[in-house]
Amino acid sequence: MKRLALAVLLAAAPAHADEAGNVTKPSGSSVITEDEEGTPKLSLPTESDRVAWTKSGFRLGLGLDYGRFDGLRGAPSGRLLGPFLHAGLRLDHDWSLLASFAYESASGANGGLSGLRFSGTIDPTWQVTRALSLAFGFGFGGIVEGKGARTDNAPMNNDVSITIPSANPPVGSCSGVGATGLVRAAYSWVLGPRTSTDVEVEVLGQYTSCIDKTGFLEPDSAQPIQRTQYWPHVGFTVGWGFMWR
Amino acid sequence: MAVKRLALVALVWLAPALAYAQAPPDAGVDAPPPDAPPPDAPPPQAQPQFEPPHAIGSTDVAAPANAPAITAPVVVTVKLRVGKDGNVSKVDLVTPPQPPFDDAVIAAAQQFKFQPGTYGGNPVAVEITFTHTFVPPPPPPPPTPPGETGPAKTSVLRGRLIELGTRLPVASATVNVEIDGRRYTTDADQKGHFRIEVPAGHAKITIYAPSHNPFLQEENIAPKQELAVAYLIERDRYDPYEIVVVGEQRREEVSRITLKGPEIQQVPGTFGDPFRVIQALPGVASVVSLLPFPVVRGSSPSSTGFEIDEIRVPLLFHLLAGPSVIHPEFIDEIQFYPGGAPAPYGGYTGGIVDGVTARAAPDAHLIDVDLNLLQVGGLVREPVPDLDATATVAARYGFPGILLSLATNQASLAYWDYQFRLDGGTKTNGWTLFMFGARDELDLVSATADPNAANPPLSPALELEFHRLDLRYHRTFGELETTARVTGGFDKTFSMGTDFWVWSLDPSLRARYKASKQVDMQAGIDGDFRDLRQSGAANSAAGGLSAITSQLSTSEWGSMFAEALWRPTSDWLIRPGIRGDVYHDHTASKADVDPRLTVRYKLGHRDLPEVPPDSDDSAVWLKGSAGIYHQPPRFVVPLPGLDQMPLKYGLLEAYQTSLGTEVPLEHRFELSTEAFFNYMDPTIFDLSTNALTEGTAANNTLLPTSIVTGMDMGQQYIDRLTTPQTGRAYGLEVLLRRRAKSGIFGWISYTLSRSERLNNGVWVPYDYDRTQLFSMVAGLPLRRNWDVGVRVQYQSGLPATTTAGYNTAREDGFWQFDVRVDKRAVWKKWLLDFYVDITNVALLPEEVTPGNTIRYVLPTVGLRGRF
Repeated sequence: MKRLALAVLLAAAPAHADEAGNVTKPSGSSVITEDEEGTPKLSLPTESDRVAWTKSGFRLGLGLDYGRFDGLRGAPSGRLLGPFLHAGLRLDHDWSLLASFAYESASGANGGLSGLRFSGTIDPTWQVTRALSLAFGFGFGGIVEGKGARTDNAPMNNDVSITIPSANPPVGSCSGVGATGLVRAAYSWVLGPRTSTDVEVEVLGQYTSCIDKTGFLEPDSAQPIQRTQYWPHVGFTVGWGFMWR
Repeated sequence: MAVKRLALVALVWLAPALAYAQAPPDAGVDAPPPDAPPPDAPPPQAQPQFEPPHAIGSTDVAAPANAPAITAPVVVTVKLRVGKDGNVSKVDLVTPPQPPFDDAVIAAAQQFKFQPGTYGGNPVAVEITFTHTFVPPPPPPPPTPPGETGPAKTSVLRGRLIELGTRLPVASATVNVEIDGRRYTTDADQKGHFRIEVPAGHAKITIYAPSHNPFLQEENIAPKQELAVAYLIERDRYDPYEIVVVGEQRREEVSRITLKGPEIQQVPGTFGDPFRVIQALPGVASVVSLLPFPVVRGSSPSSTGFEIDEIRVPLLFHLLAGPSVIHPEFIDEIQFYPGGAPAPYGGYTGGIVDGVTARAAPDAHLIDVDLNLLQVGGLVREPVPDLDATATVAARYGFPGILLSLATNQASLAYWDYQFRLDGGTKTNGWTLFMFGARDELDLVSATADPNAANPPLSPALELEFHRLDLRYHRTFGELETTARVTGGFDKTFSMGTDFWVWSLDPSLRARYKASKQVDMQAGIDGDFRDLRQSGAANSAAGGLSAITSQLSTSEWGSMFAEALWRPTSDWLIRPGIRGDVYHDHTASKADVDPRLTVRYKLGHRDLPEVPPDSDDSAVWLKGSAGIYHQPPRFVVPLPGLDQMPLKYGLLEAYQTSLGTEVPLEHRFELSTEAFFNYMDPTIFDLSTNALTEGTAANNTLLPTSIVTGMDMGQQYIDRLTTPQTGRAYGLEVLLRRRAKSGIFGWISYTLSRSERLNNGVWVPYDYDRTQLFSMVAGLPLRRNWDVGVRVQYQSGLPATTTAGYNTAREDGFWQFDVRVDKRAVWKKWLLDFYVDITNVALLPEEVTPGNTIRYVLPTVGLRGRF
């Protein structure tokens, strides 16, 4: 190939195109105008959708999960329902590295959780088969509850900040963050070259440093006077989502 | 293995950008159009012509000897820099490493020779993208008797290659036609046309074009048939901001930071809102992270002006904290002056944020529809041949009340905005009509509602509304550029029984004269006439504040300025300017004179391959500014109709100085450092809310503890606002930024500063002083039209009052981590953008007042279609 072609590409500007069907005429006949060019055609698939999904590249997933979040050692429990997001890279045929974020409404009866449970994890993901994957995640997780989430029978002190060693009885409301770990199995169905859907089952554990502010300040430093309590939780969720590549 | 294809694509931003980069702030006149014409469109009037470089000799790339067998096309793209002498001075690999193929392409490209590109007849350096595709060898042909050349080529396949989504022609493509195991090859021309003689049969057509995905199609070609086809070829990445700046960007400002493209539309945590981006720039602290009222270099939020094409905007964000009131598509760039604003900018003693709109191209067509969780909007741009103009219409409706209704039935929110713009004539001799406006409404339970009702009726509790009509006419007489302009406006605020509305008229004349190669001169005269009315309820309902607002009625403001841009040598830029303002209302008349000076000096040049040698871009600059700034007293936060306060309280005055350096680095990075010292005497209507004496109860509002604990201290609070204070702010700002407009973008900024007020003879921290500010913004374009962005911010805590005295301690600082993912899907005639933007993804806590911490996350999911 000897020819060198050059074009100046500027910002995109839509153009008008004819929509006529393919046009044929005997070879060597008179000049054919541009209007006679055929209906614009898209490319046929150059690879199968399933193969395309095994190739490396960016992935984004959005979905909804539902499950339980059980407090240990007296920490309150509740049901979880909320959206999740996965974003990351399919590294190769076998591995992906995803960042996952979940924001779930937490609700429990009789002094259970009442607020938001959230987490963000880094999930190395092993593609067991083309459809089945197994992820192991670790990161942060937290709880945000409104005031008066439950009857507060925990030790109280408005003069100085304290740490309560036991999660039982729990403080009246928890707002804090800690560590989360999870194992997630997902089974996916390829819907097209860009989209797939999957169901996920996730087992998780979380250790939260809860802060409950008393509403008073230390007058010499203007620091809030607060109670700290540590809440351990385990959880199980089932989710359904879509992923794009 | 055979080398089958060679192609070259030039991505250039023509040299007029150099002129625009140094244009006066009225860039609605001068900014480059976002929708440039296609390559075959007639050139704009009075613009020098650009001629791209042409290769001299062969540009073949031989397959490397040690290459493995090619079973699939291997596409290698490199970026070449072709110098004024036609030699290739730099080769960068664009596609991921694919040794040894990329090594072969790089080695070959370094030897290419070109006839250099020219602009206006003068050789210019150009960056071009060169793509070479190594294609697999065809399958071995069936054994043929000696001398046979294959079946007769009695038929013709011809057609046109069109880019999917944009409808642009696909140039420089290789078309392979395979019939009965034999391969026939041709090249498409610059307009995407191709024609190839082939034998009859079932044809498998494969097409490889630079920067496009492989294309596959099948056709049945009959004997002696000429088959016409059109194929839609998908680009491997659709980037609306893909512009490579090759030319020099001349420096004319000292402290200005200009943001464009993805820097204003794809920064995480901003919802794609251009004006919110400045919160990640050096010197900008926030009152509360959710509220986009910036504390710029330690000045009160009301001292920083938000403008659109130099039109003061009374309400920049819906509902004070929501999206901005202008469709982002209108904003071509954001110009931010944390200090040292030139003479054309008056009326503010802090920073200036100017959203510069773009003039629509004469043949621009665009339909843009967007939908997210908070709002729906649309924009249409079409030529109007009868007026020889291009019209752009946009409108948005926000429905945050729907989300709010999930949490409460006691309140509802809604807003809308609109924009209409007509651009006629040319950039130098043309006119613009620009109308825009917005309205917000907050409804609360009406006072007459049944308190036990399950769904109590709501009634308006807060209404904010404004409208602007702006007419501009540009005329150029040789070296003299003139702009005449008049802006009319209507502003209104209704809140809890108070009702303010203002009619305004702002005429303006500007002239810029290029006296010589070294000297540009600019002068202007502006007027501002306002007629403020207020309802009878305003006086009785606003409490202590009514003592101030009841004095508001009509006001007039006139100003003149003149400045020069003087380059005595190529190493110096000296920009002296002066402006004078006269203010009058029925309480007082005030006048001021503001001399200003900015200076740049080239300390030297760095030899960098990405920037033109001996240019402003390659220079190491020492820069400094000094000036006096005045403003009328303004309400603590800008509201429509409630902006300027009575003049009897006096004019605010500030002395702004700065000194810094700019150092260009490799890969289009630039390191800027700037130290500043501002002296404010007086400052009035400072946003100042901290308690003067210590309290032990946490304060869950932004008002002083003494007020929220029930004591009637309202008048004391008002007195604090109106009592002139003395302030000072000083600090150091560092900005490391990548200015290239392709590839990764972003910046890291750090500010170490202190803002203080003189309190009983002692300098104490200002209520909204944040000692350390850190921001990291990064956006990374990925394959298959993905863009991923992150933003990390840290701001020191605000001062707090303790037993040791007023503002003697600090609240906790806060971190914020935002992410954004954009995906662009391409359809036959349109593009669909999908984005997810999550603000404060980790719900990191922020202490907004002593003892009160908020944790929040703001996720937004949106769709945007462009036709």
